[in-house]
Amino acid sequence: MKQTDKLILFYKLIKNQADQEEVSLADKLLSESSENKDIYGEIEQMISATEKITKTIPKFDKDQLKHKIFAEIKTDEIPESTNGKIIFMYLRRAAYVAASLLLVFFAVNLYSNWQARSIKLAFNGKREISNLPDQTSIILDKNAEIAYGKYFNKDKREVYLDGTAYFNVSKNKEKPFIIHIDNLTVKVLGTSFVIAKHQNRVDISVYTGIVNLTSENGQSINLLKSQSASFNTDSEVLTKTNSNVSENNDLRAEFMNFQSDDVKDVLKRIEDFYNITIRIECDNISEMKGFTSPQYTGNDVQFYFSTLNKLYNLQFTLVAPDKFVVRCN
Amino acid sequence: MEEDKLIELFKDQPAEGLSRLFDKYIDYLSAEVFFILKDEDDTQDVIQDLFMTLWKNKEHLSNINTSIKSYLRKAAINKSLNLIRSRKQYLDIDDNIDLEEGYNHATMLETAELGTLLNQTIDNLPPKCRQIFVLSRYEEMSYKEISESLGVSVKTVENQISKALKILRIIVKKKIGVNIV
Repeated sequence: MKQTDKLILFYKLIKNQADQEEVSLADKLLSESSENKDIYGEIEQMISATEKITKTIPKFDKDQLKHKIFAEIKTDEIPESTNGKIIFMYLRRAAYVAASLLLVFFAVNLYSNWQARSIKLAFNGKREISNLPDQTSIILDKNAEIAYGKYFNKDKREVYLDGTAYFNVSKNKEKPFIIHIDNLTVKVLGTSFVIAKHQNRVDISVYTGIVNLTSENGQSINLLKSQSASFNTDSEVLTKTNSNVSENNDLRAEFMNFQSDDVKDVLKRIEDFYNITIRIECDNISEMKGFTSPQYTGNDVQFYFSTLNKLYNLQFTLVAPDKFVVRCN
Repeated sequence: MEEDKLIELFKDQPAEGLSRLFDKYIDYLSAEVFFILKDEDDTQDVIQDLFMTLWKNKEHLSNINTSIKSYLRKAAINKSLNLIRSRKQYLDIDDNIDLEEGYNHATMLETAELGTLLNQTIDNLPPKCRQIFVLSRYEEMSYKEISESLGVSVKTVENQISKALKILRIIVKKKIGVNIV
């Protein structure tokens, strides 16, 4: 890709103007080389440094300009219609009433929309793994709660989170995945990350992909793979941090904690976790069940391939970067 | 005077209301317009046109759903863009920007803060390049919006922005001590 095109792509990404395909492409470029990351960092620095710009007030004669304007206005032609005023006043009142009724209607509709699919998980004080209707996997920490409406996955995928959770969002270029927590909005394409809620802050750490964070007061930053940020809920300040992404591995580890799972599901979870593709060339894969793994401790993908090979005689072959084929012997 | 009172005054006593609006917002609006056009005469023309339009549409002012300050600013920006487009200043011809200029500029002002350096560099970009970059960076317009507003192709917008980024990147790299290749 030409240097010029990269500059434009990264610039659009930082300014949150990239479409889903462009976000995907940027993610790929940033994973490919550190040179691309450097370019991204330089543009990010440039954008940040030019945030405060002084706009000069021009020095023309403002009184003279004002006189020019009023000279053009013929003030003796100002219309004065008392009847018109009264009628307009009543029409305005009627408009306010209609607008209020409409507002109430929408509020009720919105409430019933969210009530229809509000789910509360992990209320019993344990962690839980669950899938949303779009196959996004979530691990909710103890006493966390997530809610989504009945139109989830129609045009977009939008959820409300209270608490701490790990997300592995299924890829869908057409439908952005949006999480609301406190006064922060988290927007992703297809990625994995942790949102951790503390007393007066929300921490976000990204494992794969790109995540956009936007606060209600308009601050917006992008997090790339292995980057973290913190949102102070008191001051509503959003900052990138140097916190180690692996600090949140404890929750993420649950994702790779297999307990008597079907091998087909295990392979899917491995694909999502390690951001790879596994093509299955084994007719009886659906019959392979009961896979239990040791606790995840930062194992690489070969650990799981080796274990599956020993237990089920499955052969994994690398056919292209991050693409594998699995065959039964 | 508060905004809603100003709007009421403008409805009840239009001439007095317009005068107050002018006094309150002239500095702000002229700075916004001058930032794009970089010409005092053009800025005056746009401001004059803006207030004349406001006078002609005074009945509709109470229908706006933003603050009057935002409304006036948006109208001022639109009129600035109309002026640029009406002069057909833009053809799909690239400017030749001297990237060495960016390097020299960075060398000359080495002790300045990065933000100051970048802002001065933006100010010194060629006019077309500067205007397009400013609309993108500070008015948050998309490439499509800029291309439609100025009557140029999206490709022209992309080219001008990438040229601006190339120069500004030189400044950043020089400041953070990276060897420029």
